[in-house]
Amino acid sequence: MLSMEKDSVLTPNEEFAIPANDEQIERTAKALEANGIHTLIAENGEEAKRLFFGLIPEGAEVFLGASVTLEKLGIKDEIDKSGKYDALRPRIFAMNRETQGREIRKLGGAPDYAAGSVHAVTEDGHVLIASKTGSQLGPYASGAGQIVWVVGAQKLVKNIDEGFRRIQEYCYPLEDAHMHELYNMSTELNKILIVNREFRPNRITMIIVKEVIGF
Amino acid sequence: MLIQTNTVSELVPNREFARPATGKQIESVVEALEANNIHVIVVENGEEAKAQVLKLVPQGAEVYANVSATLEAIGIKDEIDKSGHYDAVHPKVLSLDRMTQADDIRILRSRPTYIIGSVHAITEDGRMLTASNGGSQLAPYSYGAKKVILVVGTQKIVKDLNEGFRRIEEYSYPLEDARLRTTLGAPSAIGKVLVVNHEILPGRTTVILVKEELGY
Repeated sequence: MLSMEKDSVLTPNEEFAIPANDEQIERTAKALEANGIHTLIAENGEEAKRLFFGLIPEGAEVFLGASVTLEKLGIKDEIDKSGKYDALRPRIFAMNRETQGREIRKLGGAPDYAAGSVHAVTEDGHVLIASKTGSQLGPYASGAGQIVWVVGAQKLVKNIDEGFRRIQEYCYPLEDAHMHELYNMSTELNKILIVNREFRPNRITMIIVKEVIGF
Repeated sequence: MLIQTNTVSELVPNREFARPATGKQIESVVEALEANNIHVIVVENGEEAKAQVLKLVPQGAEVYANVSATLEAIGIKDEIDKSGHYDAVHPKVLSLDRMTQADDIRILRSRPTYIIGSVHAITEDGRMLTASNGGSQLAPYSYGAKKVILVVGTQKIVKDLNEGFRRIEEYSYPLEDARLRTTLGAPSAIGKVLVVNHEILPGRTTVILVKEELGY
């Protein structure tokens, strides 16, 4: 299923960059709804952004996971820099990781809203997210009050096995390159969360965008 | 939550997953977990496991002890929740109203200083799988808790990830479903699964591996 060879050749498998067709998107959305994940479909990034801000009230406490998708859509700057939201990421980044670890953990562990993206969504409505530190997974699993995920249509896969393969063969090489570019460090597939079902009604909304966004 | 009238689970647990691991398997698990930055203490029985947990948690610390068959079996949950020696989070959660104070409950459960619980499977190459109906213990496991203490019976050791997923579906889930139907009259589900391949923070996670069949 998931191998993690240290010497893995970091060339992304481009088969996972192909967006799903409308029929697959519809099928996936229906399955997600059946699993308690409310799903909206956006024609493009602009519509996704509009839907996103329809879900998060001004003034709300919001934690954004590091996400190329939200950056590309301009959502990250709007949340973190507009002053209209109680944005947790800038507050956490301003703290000292050595001396304020407790405050950082308390702030990031249970935000009212968490938003970001995921790495794979299966046709039967299961969601996979990988993380190096796990800081996004805590809020996603149960820590956050409400969650909004924005997902490019290339992230739709057939089943869980293909989802693991997508993470290993596509997301991991691209994230590794991204991390090297930003911080000159590697990434690691340390923790993976699989969401099969959400039992709290309206806790999670996924916006599927009919475009290739993020990785 | 939906309350079902059916209080008897129709699922049958696959008892092949109740078999304790061999000494050789335990050795390879210890080595692999340590390589994944997860500290391991091997003990002979539940009594020793309890003593180890109490050594790891300082008196007065904020602690969440999970509702867990393993913790109940070794008698640690009462010690944490009722002795008065700890800032126990679960009794606080139980004193709140689930309808009107749901946010306070979520926040308390998500980021305790210490969390004590178990997992459902550990692979021979040192990966841990934990399943959850709602996901509430997965937030502190993946990020929210400063320290994670996991008490694990050796029958939970499996070959690889695939066998770990199978263990959850064929063994842990049927038994948890039966427990939930008996206690709450509600079914369980494998709502969320956390796979931990490696822990990035040194000293954050300790596994106490018990050479007994404990929990499921």
